Amino acid sequence: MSRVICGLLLCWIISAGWFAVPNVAEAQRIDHQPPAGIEAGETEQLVFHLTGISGAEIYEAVLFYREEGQLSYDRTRAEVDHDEVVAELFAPEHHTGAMEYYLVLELQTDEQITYPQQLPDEEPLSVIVTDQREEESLTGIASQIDYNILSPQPGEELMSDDVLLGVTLFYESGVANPDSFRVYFAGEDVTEQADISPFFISYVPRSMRAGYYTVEIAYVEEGTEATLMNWEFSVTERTLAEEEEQIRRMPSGRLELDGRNQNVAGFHREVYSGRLRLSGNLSDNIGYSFNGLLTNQESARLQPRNRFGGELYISDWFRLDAGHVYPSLNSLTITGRRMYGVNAEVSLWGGNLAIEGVYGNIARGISNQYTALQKISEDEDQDPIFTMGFDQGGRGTYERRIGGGRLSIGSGERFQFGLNALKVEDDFNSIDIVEEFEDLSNEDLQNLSTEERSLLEQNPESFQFEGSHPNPTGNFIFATDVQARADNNRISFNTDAGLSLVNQNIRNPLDQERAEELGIDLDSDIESTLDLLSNLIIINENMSVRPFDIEDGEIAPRMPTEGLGVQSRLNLNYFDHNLQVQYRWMGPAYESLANSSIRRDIAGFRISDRFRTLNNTLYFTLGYENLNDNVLDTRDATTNTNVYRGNISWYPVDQHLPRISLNTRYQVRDNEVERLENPYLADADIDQNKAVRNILFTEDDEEVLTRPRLTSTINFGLSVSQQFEFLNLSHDASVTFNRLNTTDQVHYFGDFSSNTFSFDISSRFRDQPLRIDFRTNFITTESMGGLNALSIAGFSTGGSYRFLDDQLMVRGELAYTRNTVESTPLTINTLDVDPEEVEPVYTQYYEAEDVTTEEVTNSYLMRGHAQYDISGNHAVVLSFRLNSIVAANFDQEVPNDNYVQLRYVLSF
Amino acid sequence: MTKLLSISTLLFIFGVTAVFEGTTALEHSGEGSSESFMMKQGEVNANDNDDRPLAIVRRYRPEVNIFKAGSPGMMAAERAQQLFDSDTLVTAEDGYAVVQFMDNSVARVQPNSVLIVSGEITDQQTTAARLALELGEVFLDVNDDDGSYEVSTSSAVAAVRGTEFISKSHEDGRSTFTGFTGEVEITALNSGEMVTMLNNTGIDVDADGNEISQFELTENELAELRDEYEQMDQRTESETIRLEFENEDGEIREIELRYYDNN
Repeated sequence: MSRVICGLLLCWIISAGWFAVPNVAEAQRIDHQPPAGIEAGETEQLVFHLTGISGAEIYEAVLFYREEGQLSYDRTRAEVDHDEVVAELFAPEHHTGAMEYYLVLELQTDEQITYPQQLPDEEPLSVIVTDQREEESLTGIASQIDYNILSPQPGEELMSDDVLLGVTLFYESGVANPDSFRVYFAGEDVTEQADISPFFISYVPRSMRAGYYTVEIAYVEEGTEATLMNWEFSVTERTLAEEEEQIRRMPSGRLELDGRNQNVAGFHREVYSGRLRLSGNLSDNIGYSFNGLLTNQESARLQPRNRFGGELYISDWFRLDAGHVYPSLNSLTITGRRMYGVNAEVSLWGGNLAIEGVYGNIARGISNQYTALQKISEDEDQDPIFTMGFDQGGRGTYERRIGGGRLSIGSGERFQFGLNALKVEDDFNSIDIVEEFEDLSNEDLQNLSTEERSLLEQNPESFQFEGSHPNPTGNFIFATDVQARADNNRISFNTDAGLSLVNQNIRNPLDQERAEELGIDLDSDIESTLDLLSNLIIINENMSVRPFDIEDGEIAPRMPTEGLGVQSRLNLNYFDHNLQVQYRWMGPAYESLANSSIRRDIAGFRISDRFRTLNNTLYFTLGYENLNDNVLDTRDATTNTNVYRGNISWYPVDQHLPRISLNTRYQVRDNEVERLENPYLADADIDQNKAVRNILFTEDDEEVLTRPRLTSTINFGLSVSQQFEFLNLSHDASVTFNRLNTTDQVHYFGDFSSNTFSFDISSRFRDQPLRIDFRTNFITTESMGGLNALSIAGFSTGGSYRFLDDQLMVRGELAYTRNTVESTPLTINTLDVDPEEVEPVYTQYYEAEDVTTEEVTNSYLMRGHAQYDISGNHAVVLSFRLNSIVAANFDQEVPNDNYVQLRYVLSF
Repeated sequence: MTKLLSISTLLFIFGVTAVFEGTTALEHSGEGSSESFMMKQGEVNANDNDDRPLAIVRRYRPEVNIFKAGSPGMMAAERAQQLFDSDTLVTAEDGYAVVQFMDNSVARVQPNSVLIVSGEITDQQTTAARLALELGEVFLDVNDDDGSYEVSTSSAVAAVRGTEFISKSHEDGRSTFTGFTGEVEITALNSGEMVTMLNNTGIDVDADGNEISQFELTENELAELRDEYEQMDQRTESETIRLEFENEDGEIREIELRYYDNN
C-alpha cells in the first residue's frame, strides 16, 4: 500500500512540475549537443545520437520548435537513421531572439521518449539566433561600406563558363580607397587580376571545374583585414540547354526497401517496409513530389502506419498537398499536425492575398472491440444482469475530422493580417457504440442461449455496459494574427489572438427536446441560431467554453473569456541590442484539438535583451519572465513564477579559439499559500513540511486548504567546444556541465538536484577516410529530498572507415553504461489520535521508510553499420545492434535487445 | 515591486549600452566628414554617379559593341564590362547581350539592336534607368518595385516597375510592347495618349507616336517568345575544341579554342 502511495506521490510531484528521477533502468538515452547558434533565415541540422534505441524501433520522430517565448510549438518530422535522428531547425528570417525545441520519438510500441527527458515543453533546449546584420557589423571604414552582389548570387549554381564576379559597392565618396580592397575567389587572392574601381569590383575567372567555391571581399585598414562579405556558390558542368533538360527530366527520388528482425523488450518482431520519395517538374513552373511508406506494421487497431502524401505546386501561387499532410495555419490553430486529407493554398499578387484551406481527419475511426455478452447472475431469485465490456486493447477512437482555412492580406515582408478558422469534430457515427440494450447487434446476442436472449429482451434494463466510452468532442477556433515590420526589420511586431470553443460531448445538440429535459426555455429563434452555429460547433450543456449562460431556465449570451487567448511580441534591434518584449494571456479553456502544445491558463510578460560586443564575438543575454496561472481567479490560489536568466557566449571568429557558453537561470514558484501549523504534528515533534494536507484548525472545525507551493531553482550550465589539430588529426571536442538545484520551502521531500557532465571528441584522420568518436557522460540526480539517488556513468567509442574508393562505408560503436539507483520508499503515516476529536486523515504525514535499496545495472551495447554502394544509385545497407543489460547486484533477468536490418536503397 | 525592479534594471542596461554603442557608431561615422551625418549608409551621392556603373555585360554572343559616351570609336564587348550613363550597346546580326543592372534587373538585347543606357543609382536598392531603344528588341526583367525603369523608342515611352516585358523598335519607326507580368504604362510620344499594358497583352504604337492599339497574346504565343530568348541565352555559350600539337621533342600539348556556333 505504501508503495502505491509513494507512486501516487511521485506522479503528483511530476505533474506539479518538479523534477523527478529519469527513467533509466533501461539504457535508452538520447545525446545531443545543441548548436552554438543559428543564423536568421537559415536552417540548422540538429543531430540526436541514440543509445539503447534503434532507429528501427522508432515509428516517428518529431521536432517541436518555437520562437523563444511563444506559447505553442510548431512541429516538423525528423529523419531517423539507425543510431541518430536528424532534424532541421529553421530560424525565421526576421527572428533575432532564440529558437527553442525538443524532440519526441514515438516508438513502434506506442511508447514515447523525449529529449530533454523531463518537462520538455516547459524546459526546452534553446539556441541563439544570430542576424546576418550582426555578422556584417564592422568597425572603422569597413562598417561604412555596403554592397550588392550581382554575381554569383550566394548559393547559386552556375555553368562553368558563366562564372563572373560582380559586386557593386555603396559608400560615401572618398571614404574608402579602392586599393584597399582584397578579393579572394575560390580560395585564391585574385586582387591583382580583379577589376576594382571605386564602386564596382569584377573578376572573370578562367573556365572552372564543377564544385563548391567561396568568394570573400575584404578591406584593409591600418594593416588589419576586415571581411566585408563572404559567400558560397557552386559550378556545374552542365550547359544551359542541359539545365533546361534537367528540369524536364525524369523525377528524382529515393526508394528504400527494409527487412528487419528484432527482439525488443522480450518481443520478437519481423518488420518489412518500403519507402518512396520522388519529386520532379512538369514544366518550369509546375512541380510535384510524392512520398509513401508501406509497412507490415499497419493495423486497423492503430492510427495509420502506412502513409502517403503528394504535393503539386504551380510557381509560388498555387500549392496542393494531399494524403498525409502537415498543414500550418496559425500558432493558435494548427501548426504541422499530421492529418489525412487535403491542404491547398492560392497566393495572389506576390503573396499579398493568400487563401489556404485544410480538410480531412487527424485521427481515423477505430472500432470498439467488446467482450462477449454474458449473463452474470445465476441465482434465479435475483434480477438477471447481462454485461459486456471492452476487450483488452479494444477501446476504439472516433474519426476526428478537421476543416479550416486562412485568409491573409499582405506578404509579411512589411505587413500581414490573417484570419483563421478551424473546426475539429469527432464523428460519433464513425464507429459503433454499445451502451444500452438497443445498441446490441444480433451478433452480440448470439452468445446467449435462446432462454437468456428472451430474458434480456423482456428486461432490456438488465443490460449493463462495464466501462465507459470516450465522449465525442468538438472544437471551433477563430484566430487572427498581425505581423508588422519596419526600418529594415529592426522593428517587428507580431500578435495572435484567438477564441476557442470546446464541447466535451457533442452527442446531444441543444434542441427543443434536450432543452425540455434540462428544464430550459428555448425559444425558436435561439434554437434556429444554435442549429446554424452547429455548422461550426454543436452547442449544448457540455461545453467547457460557453458563449451563453443558463439562468433561471433561460439562455443568455455571454462573453466566453475563458476561451480567449492572445500573445504579442515586440522586437527592437538597434545599437547591437535585441530587445524583446512579450505579453501573453491564455484562458484556462483555450484549446485546439489540432495543437496540443498550447499552454493554457497562463498570463504574464517576458522581457529580454541580447546585446553583443567585441566585433560580435561576445553575446550577453539578460531576461526576466513573470507568469501566473489562475488567470480568471477561479481557483483558491494563484501560482506566480518569476524567472531570471543570464547568458554569456563567446563565439570567436578564429576557429582555433574555443566557443564558450555560460548560462544561469533562477526561478521562483510561489502560490502565496501559507503552510499552516498542524498542532498534532507539532505535538509529535514532526516537521510541519511533512504534513500531507494543509489544514486550517479552528476551535470547532477543520478546513483543508490549498497546498502551499514555494520552490526556488538555480540552474547553471557551461559548455566549451573547440576544434584543434593534433598528431595530424583534426579534432572536434566539447565539454558540457550542467547543475540544477531545486529547493522546496514547504515540502520536506520536495528538493531535487542534478549534475550532468559530458565530454565528446570526434577525430578525423587527414590522409585516411577514418573517423573515431569517443563520448562519455556522468549524471547524478537526487530527488524527493534525497530519498532517490541515481548515478549514470556512460562511455562509448566508435569509428567509421571508408573502403574501396568510398564504395564501402563501415561504422561501429561499443558502449557501456553503469546505472546505480538508490531508493528509499516514502510512506504516509497517521498519528494515533482520538477519531472523535479529529479526523485521523488530518494528522497524516509523509515519512521515509527505513529500508534503502540499491540496484546496479550494467548495460553493454554493440552496434554496426555497413553501406555498400553498388553503383552510383544502388546501395545495400546492413546494420545490427546487440544490447545487453545485466543486473549486477540483484536478481532480475532483463531480456536482451537485438536487431538485424537489411536495406536496399535506390536513388534516381 | 520585484517585477518593476527587474524591468527597470533591464531597460537601464539596454539604455546605457545603447547610448554607448550609439555614440561609438556616430564617432565612427564622423571619421569621414561632417556630411556623413546627413547620409544613410547605402545612399548614393549624386556626384558619385559618374564613377558608378549602371550595369554590366553579364553574358553576350559576338558580335556586340559598346560606344562609350564621350569617347570616339567603339569597342568589342567583354564579359563584366561596365556600362556607364549614356553608353550605347549595339548588337550585330548574330549578336546578343544580357545586361545586368545594379539592382539585378536584366535586359536581354536581341540581334540588330541599339540600346543607349542612361540613368542613375539613388541608393542601394534603387536604380532609375532610362533605356533608349533606338532599334531592335529588348526583353526587360525588372527586379522589384523599388527600381524605376523607362524604355523609350522613337514613338513611345514605357514606364515599368517590377515586371517582365518586351520592347521592340521597328525599322519603320513603329514600336511594339509585349507584357508578360505586371503592368507597364505606355505613352505615345506625339499624342501623349497613355495606356496601361497588363500581362498577356501587347501594344502597338504607330511610327508617328500618335495611335496606340492593343492586342492580346495567348499563353502559347508568350511561351514561344520566352523560348526564343532562352535559346538566345543558350547560344551565348561558347563551344570548345581542343587541338593537339606535337613539338620537336615529341611532347604533345593541348590548347583550347572557344567559338560560337552560328547555326
